[in-house]
Amino acid sequence: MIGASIRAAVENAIEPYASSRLAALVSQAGPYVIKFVNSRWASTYASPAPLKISENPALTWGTATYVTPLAFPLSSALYGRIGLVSEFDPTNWKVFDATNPANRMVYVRWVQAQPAFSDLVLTVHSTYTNHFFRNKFRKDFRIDCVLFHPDQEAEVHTDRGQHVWMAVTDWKGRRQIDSKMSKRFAQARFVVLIDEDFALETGGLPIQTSPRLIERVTQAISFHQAMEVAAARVDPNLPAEVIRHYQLGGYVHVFIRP
Amino acid sequence: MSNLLALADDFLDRMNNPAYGGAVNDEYSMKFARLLQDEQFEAQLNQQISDVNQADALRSHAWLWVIGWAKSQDVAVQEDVLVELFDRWGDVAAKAAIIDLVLDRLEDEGLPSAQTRLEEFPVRFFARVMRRAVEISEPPPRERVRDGEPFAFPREPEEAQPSMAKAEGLLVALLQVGNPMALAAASVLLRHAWRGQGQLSEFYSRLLDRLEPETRTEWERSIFRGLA
Repeated sequence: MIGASIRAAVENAIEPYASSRLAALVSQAGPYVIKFVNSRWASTYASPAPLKISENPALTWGTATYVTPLAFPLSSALYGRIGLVSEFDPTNWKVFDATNPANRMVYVRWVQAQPAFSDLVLTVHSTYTNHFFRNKFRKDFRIDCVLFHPDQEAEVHTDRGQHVWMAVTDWKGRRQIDSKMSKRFAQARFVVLIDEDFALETGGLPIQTSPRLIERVTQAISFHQAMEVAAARVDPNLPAEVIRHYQLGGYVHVFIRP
Repeated sequence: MSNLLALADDFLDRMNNPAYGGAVNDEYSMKFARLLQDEQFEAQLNQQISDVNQADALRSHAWLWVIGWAKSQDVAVQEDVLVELFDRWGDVAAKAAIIDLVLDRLEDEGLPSAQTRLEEFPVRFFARVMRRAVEISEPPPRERVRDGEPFAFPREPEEAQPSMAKAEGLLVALLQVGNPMALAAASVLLRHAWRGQGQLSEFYSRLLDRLEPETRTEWERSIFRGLA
């Protein structure tokens, strides 16, 4: 129930993969994506396994698998220390590029024409209503992938203006959005381990720019020593080393050997 | 309620309730997805979803997940439960999700005619939620005024006023789903003669007023196209 001009504007904004910004990113770094997750999932992805489709109602573009093209390898490090990498085949995808401001406005026009638009702006239910609209939009126009600029940043690692993240739809049947495990990213494996942690929230709200919790501090300390963890565990001198670094204002970096 | 569903309720709430934060939502979603990889677990869960006969069995955020899951996995949810949830929820998008689920499971029901009355609507779920939406409950009895009290004039019984929120929420949810059967229900609801009819028509006009002309025409055409 939307006017023909809004429908046409949305359809014009949807591009085949080959002519989309995604194709340029893939040609730059290959058909690979990365997703950072909590460390507890490292063992699950020690061998290839499908990524989980995210269905949390607060997500930017609805139920989808949220990943980053490998052209921006550390852009989403905010979300965990474990980087899962998967190959993918976007050949026949329909792409909606929301990094383009004109396309974003097309989406806004579409939302404004929805019968429940007033509920979005006038009630307490906006989170779920937004989720509903985002899924409906992608479903009605059969959009396989939405490209968008990050809406949260890991300090230094993320460039909101330049980086591009992806929300990728897995279809169930002809018109349902699947919410189980992704078939698009079925071969994800633990590939990147990053020595950093970020807070995701501040004061109970999603953080906008999250500072590096470790690197920022270590940058300011010139006296340090790196020790491989297996050696450190059995090193009888470790207590003495720790005390020495304590007394000299340094730090010991116990690292996992790659 | 079964033990499995009681456990699932806790998981599903943590998966779907934004109050826990995105990290907790994702963590539980991942854990639950791993449980669902066991086909026996999934079959048991689906069976117990179909067996639930009380809306109180799960919290609202858990139900929202179940409604979406039932639609995508073709799992039946009892009509009584859906009617109760529909009635209880103020969120129009959540109501629309229930209508979507009901419509998905319909088997070739013909569209109603222009003369169809609300009570006779061919999809029983719609007839039930429409009936509830136009129900007018009597006001609570006024406290009796004691004899001899000053200003104790006899009063006319007050006419019960329609509570429009349910009817308006139902109308918007039907329009939002927007397929021929939902639009036919919206049309029947708008034509139904009840004490709130004028107010509901006025509300619908206000909805139309905010639209650009092309979309407005599309709405006006669609709502009466649904009737056979």
